[in-house]
Amino acid sequence: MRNHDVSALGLLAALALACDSATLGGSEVSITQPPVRGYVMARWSEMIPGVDPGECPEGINIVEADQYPEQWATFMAARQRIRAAGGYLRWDDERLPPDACQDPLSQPDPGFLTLDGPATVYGLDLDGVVSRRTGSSGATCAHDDFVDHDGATGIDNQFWRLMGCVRGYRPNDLVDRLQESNVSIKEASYAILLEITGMDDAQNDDEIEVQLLSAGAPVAMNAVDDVMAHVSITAHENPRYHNAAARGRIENGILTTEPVDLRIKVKQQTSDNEYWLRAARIRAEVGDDGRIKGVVGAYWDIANLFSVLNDQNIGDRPQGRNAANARGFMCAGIYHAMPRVADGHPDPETGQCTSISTAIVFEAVPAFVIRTQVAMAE
Amino acid sequence: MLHSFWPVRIVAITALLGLGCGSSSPPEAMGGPVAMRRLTAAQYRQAIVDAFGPEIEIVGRFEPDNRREGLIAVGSAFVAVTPSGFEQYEAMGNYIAKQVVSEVHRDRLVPCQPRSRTEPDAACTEAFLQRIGPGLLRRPLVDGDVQTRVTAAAAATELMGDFYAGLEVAVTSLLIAPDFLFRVEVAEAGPGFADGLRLTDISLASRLSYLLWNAGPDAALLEVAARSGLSDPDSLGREVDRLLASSRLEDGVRAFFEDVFRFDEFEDIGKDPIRYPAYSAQVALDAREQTLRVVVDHLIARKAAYRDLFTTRRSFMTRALGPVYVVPVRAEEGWEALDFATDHPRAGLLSHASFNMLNAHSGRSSPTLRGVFLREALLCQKVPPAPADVDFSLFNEDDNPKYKTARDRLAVHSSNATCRNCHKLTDPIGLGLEVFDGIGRHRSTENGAPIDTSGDLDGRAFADSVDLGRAFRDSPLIGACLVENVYRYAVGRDPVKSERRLLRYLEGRFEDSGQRLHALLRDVVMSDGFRTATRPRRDPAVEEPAPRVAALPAEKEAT
Amino acid sequence: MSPGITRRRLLRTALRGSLGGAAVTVGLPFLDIFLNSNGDALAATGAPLPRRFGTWFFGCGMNPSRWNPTKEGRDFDLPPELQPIAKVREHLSVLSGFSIILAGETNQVHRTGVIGTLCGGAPTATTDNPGPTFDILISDAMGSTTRFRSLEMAATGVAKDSFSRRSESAVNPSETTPLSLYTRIFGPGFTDPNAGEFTPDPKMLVRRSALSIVSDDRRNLEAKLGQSDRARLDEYFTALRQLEHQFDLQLSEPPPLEACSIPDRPNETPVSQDVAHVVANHELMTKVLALALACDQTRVFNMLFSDGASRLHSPGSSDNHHTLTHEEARDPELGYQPEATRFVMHGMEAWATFVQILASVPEGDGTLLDHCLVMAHSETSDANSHSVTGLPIMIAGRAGGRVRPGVHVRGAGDSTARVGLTLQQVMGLNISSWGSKANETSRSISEILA
Repeated sequence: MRNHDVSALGLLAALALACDSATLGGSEVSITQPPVRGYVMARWSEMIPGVDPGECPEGINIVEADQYPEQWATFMAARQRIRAAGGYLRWDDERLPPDACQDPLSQPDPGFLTLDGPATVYGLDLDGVVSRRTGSSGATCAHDDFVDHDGATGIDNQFWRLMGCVRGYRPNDLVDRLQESNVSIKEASYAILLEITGMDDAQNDDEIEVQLLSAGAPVAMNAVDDVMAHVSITAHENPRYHNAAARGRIENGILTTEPVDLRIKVKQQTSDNEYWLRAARIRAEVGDDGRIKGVVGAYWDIANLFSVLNDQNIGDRPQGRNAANARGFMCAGIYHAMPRVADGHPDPETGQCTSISTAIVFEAVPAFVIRTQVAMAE
Repeated sequence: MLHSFWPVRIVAITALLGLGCGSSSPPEAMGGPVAMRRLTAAQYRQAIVDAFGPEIEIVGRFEPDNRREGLIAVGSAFVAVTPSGFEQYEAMGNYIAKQVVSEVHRDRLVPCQPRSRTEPDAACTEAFLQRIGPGLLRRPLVDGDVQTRVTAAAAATELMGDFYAGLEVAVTSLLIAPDFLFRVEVAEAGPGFADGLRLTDISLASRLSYLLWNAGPDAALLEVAARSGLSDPDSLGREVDRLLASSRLEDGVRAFFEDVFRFDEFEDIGKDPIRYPAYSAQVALDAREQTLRVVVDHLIARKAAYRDLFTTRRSFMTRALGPVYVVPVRAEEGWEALDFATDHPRAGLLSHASFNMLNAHSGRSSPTLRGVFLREALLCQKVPPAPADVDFSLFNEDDNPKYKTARDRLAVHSSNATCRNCHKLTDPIGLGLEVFDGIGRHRSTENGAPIDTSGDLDGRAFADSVDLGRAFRDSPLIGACLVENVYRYAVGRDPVKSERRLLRYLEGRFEDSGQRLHALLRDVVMSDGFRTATRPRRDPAVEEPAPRVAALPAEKEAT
Repeated sequence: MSPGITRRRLLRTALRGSLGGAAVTVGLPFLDIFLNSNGDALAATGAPLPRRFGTWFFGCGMNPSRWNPTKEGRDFDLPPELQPIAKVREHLSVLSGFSIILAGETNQVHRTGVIGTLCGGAPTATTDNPGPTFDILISDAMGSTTRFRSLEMAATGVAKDSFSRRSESAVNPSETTPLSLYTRIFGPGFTDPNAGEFTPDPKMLVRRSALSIVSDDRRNLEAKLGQSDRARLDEYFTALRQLEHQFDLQLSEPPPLEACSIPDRPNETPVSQDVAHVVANHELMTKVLALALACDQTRVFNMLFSDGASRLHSPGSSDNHHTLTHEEARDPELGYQPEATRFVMHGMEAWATFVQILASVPEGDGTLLDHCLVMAHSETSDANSHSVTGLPIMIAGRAGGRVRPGVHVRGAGDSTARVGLTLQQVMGLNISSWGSKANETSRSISEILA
């Protein structure tokens, strides 16, 4: 094991912990710690590539108010009136068409514009091939890969095909701004943790393990409003969010991992849910400053994706419809579009793909991952 | 009074060389003048807790304390009360009084029911005064204390139509009384004290309990004092042992070390957020508490040798402190114990974040400030202030790329003879702590250059910061300085000439005990110096200073 | 003889005995950190004007990069969205970077920010509407010396647009039109405050008597002391006599409220969320409020310009301010949402108008505003992301000399509870800390104090 100046590792190994604060004079047992480096995510963002407006030649997706203008005008007028009187009109009010964000089949498919042309997009080549729709064997999951900024080909990111012509996902728009302000980390209820075990050399090591897990608490912020490094942060009490460790390696400073399924707890604002990212791989750089930056490429389960987008609530009031309006799509449309762009996990019987390739860029700072007794026993 | 070594005065340390060479019978000594000391904020708070319980809220600003000759305990005998300070005392006192007589607390605190809720009741008022008065004034009440308050309470009751409004006046008046806000010591002539005086039993009781508990005497001690029991050494010894055995000893020991360590300066601490993003008000709070916990654990719970505080690997941690020490902390709330491994750069008090953040600038560390603190507070040596005409522009080399480390920058000072004389006292030991940055985080380089922490403490070479702790542990000045500080803290003044022999005796006893704090505290209380006095001081300016016990060793070569 | 008569006579006797005909008086009991610099000055000028506290709310925040000044201290800059306050900047301080510390609580959109600032902690559930808000704590501490405990007003014309609440169920409803506000204050039931008879506060008299008890002990103590300690005791008694003098001032009759006059009765005005109506009604209500304060009808008020998740809209638009913050695209050239931002500017202009109106009423040696302390705040910073980090807060007025306006203080992520703590202390509350859980603080913002 190489001793690393900045990382938590060197100091951690040099420590003997006596955790029982009650026994001031009690016996002290030195616990030898395995070579583990912990991190907490300081950024975690869906990729928003800076593409030209011209890439959506048919325009961008419409929202419900465009599709059902009369009902929405009636509803909004009533809503204004009722709120002025101190009342509240729910988004599933019957003045509107049935709420497709709760029941996607309750409305006819209004259609959905996807981004179909070529683009330069961050991501990983998840399936190991440069895929094309044309000329393929006609399998349901055929898709066109993207090219990465560094020229890498075969980039799988069908999530971007799905969202590329949604207003809120366009450059400078809602999701971009959310990521810029980093509220999804700073104001989230649960941090995301990463642990690397068995790393002897940050430049080249052919056998490491990498685990992603949710924390039971949010990040701490430092005096300049960045995520604080070297905090101790307890893993989530629910072992569901302690994902299996992925085997990995480091070559010339680039860390890569084998695929592993991830469940990550998400709770912020109107959302209380989890991400289910399947066959997730990491490609990252371990920096000299102790930080780690990279991409998680994964297949996002489409049922979970629909739920993450639309299962939004304030108390018992569903807000999915409101959220879809803000992002710029219709739930009925995106529901039918998702299988069309899906490129992973084909159903063994129908061959229909059930997940959508995606890329999440992340940046993490050193931290100490604390496992409670329960979590350790599991 | 401390001397100014400017130019450095060289005083032989013969006194120190004889340390630990057997302790014969205690020398006779006569204490200095008695003192009138203003309660510190902590002492005021404790007095309210003792009188009314912890449920009573105290809100307000206390007048700043005054550190004199290194100790607030000495400065407290020189501070007065300003008009704005008195307003605060009155507002605090009135707010406390309102709570005490409120419906929530009156059943617990007022020992009787008035005949009527709306009319005066002298008997009940007096019973209430007898219950709370002696504890607050630290003495039995006299007729005058009671009569004026019963009369005023009756007037207030009639005005407001409320018995408890009267009690409120009585409580407020006690909490703003000069003999509550000040500990007024009184000496009297006594048998066997031909040339001087001895403290009255009542005054001795306060001196004793403030030293050991940082609080006024409890009812049991006051009772012994009221029947002149403290004049009898056996009886006094029993009370000392009782107080030493109490869990409240921790309060006294904390207060003493907060004073010696100058932890009141945490009130004004601030750090540059860009240079020290891990710093927060909570970090400072926990760093201060961490040091006090280590001290209390070491000296009281373990009854270990004082000198070993400078090498102990034992510490305590919170989640807030974790990022400063870069260690994992399991406990989500509160404190957990931790022992640094033997090859870890953290060992002993000097490696604590508290000292290193306190004795530093807002944006950088300061070997000089750290050196001054170590010399003055822990070795009882005086470092002269910088001369008024110094041209700091010569040394403001922070941004000069030529000088990467503090050692490089301070080397400039040694090129100037005026600077060198003082900086050679402070910088070599301060540079030993340069691996700790301005908030006490460990670092091994500065501006890319490795930090050299080797140096020498008065002839004892040390290799690094851990070894500097060992050098302090081995220094004969460490124990002698603690004895002197405890004594000065106890009597609220510098020792007078006649107490010098007593101090040397106490130092010998302390070494013989293996530097155990309990033994030292008992010896101090039982000494003549603690129990006797001369007449009240007239003017501090004309007081005779005594030579310092701990002085700088002679230099090897004159420069 | 009834007990009441007895007490009144006693009071009169006592006053004659202790006051010796002092002609001036001072305001509420002096407190805490503020005494130092102002106690003497106020007593000397004898300006016993009441101090008032108010809040001024605007919904949907601002664009942080166009609102937060970059320079701290007195020479702070006015970025584009603060330009409207240029004409009143001498009267106010800007607090940027103060946040609700969520510490794991969910950011409940459009609620957490305002509840956090007013109650000192993040609500724990969507059904959690904690009280009291700190304007209530301040009005409680002032006691019921005025006709109205507090006045709430909503320029939006919606009675339930109010954040002032004593508890979950006890929300203070807002007055909804200039006319209803006028009628409530200056309609039937209004009496000229200058016509009443002065009655000294017997509680103050009782409090003063505690000082007399101590004076009696002096000789006894002096006998025990040496010369230098006797000098220190002298200083103590000098301080005590000074406080006695201050109390005496508070026990004597205050001068008349010269600024009090009855405003013209406003006409019926259209009430809606149309921004033009809201701006007009806000100005009319502020004028009525200013004279209500000058006539000492209340000392606490809460003005709401737009609701949280602001529904202000422009005629002909199907969007309102709130929906625009989420749905309008950011102009790539400008870098912000132009339509939504227009409402931010309306808010800042209305706030400047509010400050100007209070500053236009002369009172004592200064203006009504000099005796007020008003906190302007919102429920988000960037409304688009519902962020509760770096909420926009401004403090106007001098609170009778306790506050020195004209600075920009950066909170660097500190809790907004520091603001609530400081303002409560300025208004005389005996508290050393405030807020709950991660938002609890004992650090007041000394930079805004005189």
